[in-house]
Amino acid sequence: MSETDPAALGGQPFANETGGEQLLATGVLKEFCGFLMNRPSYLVGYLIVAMVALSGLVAPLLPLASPVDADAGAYLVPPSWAHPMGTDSAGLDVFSRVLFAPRVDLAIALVSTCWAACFGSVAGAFVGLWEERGGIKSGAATLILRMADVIQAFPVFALALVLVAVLGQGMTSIIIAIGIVNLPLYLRLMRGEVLRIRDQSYVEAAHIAGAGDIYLLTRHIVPNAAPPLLAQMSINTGVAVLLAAGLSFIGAGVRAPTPEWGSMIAMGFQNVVTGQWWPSMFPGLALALTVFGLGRIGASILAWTNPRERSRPTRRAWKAFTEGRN
Amino acid sequence: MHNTANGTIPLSRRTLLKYGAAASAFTFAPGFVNASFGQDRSKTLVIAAPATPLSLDVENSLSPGTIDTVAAFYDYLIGFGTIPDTVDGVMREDLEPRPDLPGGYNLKGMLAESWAFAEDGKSVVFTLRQGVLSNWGNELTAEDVKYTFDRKFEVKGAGAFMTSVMGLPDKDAVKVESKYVVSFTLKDPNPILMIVCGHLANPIFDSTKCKEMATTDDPWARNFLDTNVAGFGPYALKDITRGQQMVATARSDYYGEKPYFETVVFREVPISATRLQLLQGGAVDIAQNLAPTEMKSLENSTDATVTSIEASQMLWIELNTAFAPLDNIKVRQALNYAMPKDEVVKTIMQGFGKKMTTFMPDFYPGATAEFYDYDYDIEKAKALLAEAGHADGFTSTLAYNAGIPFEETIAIMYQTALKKIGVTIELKKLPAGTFFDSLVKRSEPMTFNLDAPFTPDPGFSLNLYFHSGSFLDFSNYKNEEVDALIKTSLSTLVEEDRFAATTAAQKIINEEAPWTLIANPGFQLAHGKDIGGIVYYTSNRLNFQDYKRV
Repeated sequence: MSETDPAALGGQPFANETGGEQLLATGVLKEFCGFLMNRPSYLVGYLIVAMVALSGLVAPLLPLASPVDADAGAYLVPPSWAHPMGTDSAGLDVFSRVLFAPRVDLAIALVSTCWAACFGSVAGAFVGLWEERGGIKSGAATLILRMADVIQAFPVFALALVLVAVLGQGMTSIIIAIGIVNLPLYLRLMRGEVLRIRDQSYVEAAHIAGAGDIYLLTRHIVPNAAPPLLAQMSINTGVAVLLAAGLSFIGAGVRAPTPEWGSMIAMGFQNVVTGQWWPSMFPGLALALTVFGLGRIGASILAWTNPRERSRPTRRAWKAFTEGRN
Repeated sequence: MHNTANGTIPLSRRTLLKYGAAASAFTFAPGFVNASFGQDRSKTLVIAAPATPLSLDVENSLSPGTIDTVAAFYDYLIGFGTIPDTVDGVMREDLEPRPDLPGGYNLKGMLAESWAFAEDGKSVVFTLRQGVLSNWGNELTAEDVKYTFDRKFEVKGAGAFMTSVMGLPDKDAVKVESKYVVSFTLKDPNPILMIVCGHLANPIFDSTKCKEMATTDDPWARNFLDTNVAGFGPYALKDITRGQQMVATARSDYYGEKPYFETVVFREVPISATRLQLLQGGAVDIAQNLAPTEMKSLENSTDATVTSIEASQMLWIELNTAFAPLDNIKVRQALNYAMPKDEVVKTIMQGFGKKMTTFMPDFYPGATAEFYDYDYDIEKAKALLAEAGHADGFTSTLAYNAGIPFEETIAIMYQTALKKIGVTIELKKLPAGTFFDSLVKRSEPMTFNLDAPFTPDPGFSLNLYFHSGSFLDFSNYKNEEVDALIKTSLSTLVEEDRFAATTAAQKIINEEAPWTLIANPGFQLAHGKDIGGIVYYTSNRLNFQDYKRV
């Protein structure tokens, strides 16, 4: 148990006073930074994602070729000074498109993950709280759970494909589709956390004292269920990037020539067999790196929320300790 | 290893590995293809195609797989004579009009031995070849021809269009005169009757077998002919598994010259890169529909090559005149000037094919490029848009087929070019099925189209795409003068008058530009270097019976 774990603080929620919260937050942030600095394998994930996000942000400010205007004369030009990553079969500059693509890929991944997490966790919280309340509340909870079962019964990619086909091609449709397929994950995760927390004595005490459902959830349950949710969100963002790229790869994603890694790979993969590897190789690498980075971020949050993992000495510290002892 | 009391072999890791290895070795052993079909590989033609036929009945489908296979199973009344192509070793149909010959062209009899026109040109009598057997062993008679055309009137599939183009008013127009003589009586003289008889969609069916397979619910044996064949062609169907492969075997009782290849395996390989690799590795003899870069990569191959032939295939964009501002002629002209045709052919098509300068295949009799003036010219396009009142441009949508990869790259190139004249187009990638649906429903302002008129006649071609009543007039083009000129060209037997009418129609169509012209992609056949005997047909199909190993 760590000092910041509510359970370690006698089962009490976080401090209520504003100054106290700020102090606590600063302390947590400082501790988290120290945790990352001592674990480079996690830190590298943050650096990769930061770089990718930064490239998407600053790409329009850089003196790059247009990512959407084709140069009819530059057909499948290999990497050169003029085109560092070459051009594709439409004469589009691959380097420029790789840098611009995070604006679409990360936006789709973040927005779809956030909305799925918001709606899924709210629904999961109520399901967990109402499940054994009886009456209409239990009925509603069961209905929501069964709906989640139905969604989860379909293969994720197939369901996303059908949703995009129904909603129409475009960024909004992809965001909605990815959000819907991910929503049950958060619902179940939050439900599990609520089932664990709702029986804690401080929650029961608040309930007996007359606290309503909303109060219980917002003040006592959700804050304590947040860490695993955050870890799941980070991992899911990577999955969402892959899903968005997969949908674009099969032509159900963003509209051409919007720079997006999946559609770039799809446009270039046919040329690989004839020796023009660059139109699909570079976006493929960018995609792999980003998903890897997001995966490391998720892993770091999971490790941080696990007291044993968090307090485990790093390899360097352990080496220094053993050398000092010898 | 031991056997159990009941004689079954216990499934252990060791037995699994042992039998698995044996099965693998059998599968990959050289000659597996031959062994499985009991044929000599040298006499087996293996084709890697994007898809197996959707149907083997031309009334149901004229999908690419159907187009490539139907002529192997069915013969026609007549066909074109052939002449050498400009490509060495390749033959092609002789399309030159020959007013001195009956039918007006250099035609060869297939199922029909001879034919004779009435003086007024309103009827023709076919005398059929005797002793011709179908793949079911039934002899060809005039009843088969009669049945074939009755079926067209009743089934109302592609045949309905065919009978109308041939000028056959009703079922009574086709009459059995005797066992081997059949006559066609027309409402008006029809200059293209004979060449339409040789159209891919007009094969002659074995009526005896079809009637045998008919049911009360299916009186025209549509279900049977969907997956079976009943024809008089050189091959019989051995097996078809849609999505996997079709196998055809040469008929020993075929009346004509026996095909070189005794077995044809038409295998579905959806990914073009895989088809290329199979061809390079010698696993297949022909790889269909390769991407231009893939065909280019065969230039240095020692085992495979690409035969590139001038063809009827055309690639264009339908400018739907029902959508503003595409109803404005100047706007459509501007859109034509903005298409970088030369660059498309040079880069995306890798030099295969040529830029399109006519509104029909340019080698068809009567086709003319004398009115063409749509080379890439952005300044001219801007000026025309300004004249049309759209100096600031406009916004529109361009739909393309996800199944044809180069359409996307052309669309992106075109989008960039149009930006230069202020026109913004949104690209709409549609799966093949949805794409054709939107094309037929004419629901998009701009839509790609890749097609060819199979009958090499200017009147037929213009009627197909520009007559306001045509089911293929996807640009909703309507000009009464053009309609009248097309009608004239299809109802007079005087050569000069026909071509004068089609030339006048082409001038108007060129001026009014209902299409954005792009390219004639040509007919490219990627094949092993040991495959010869290639003949080009305006239906852009394979013809198994022509090919041989050289």
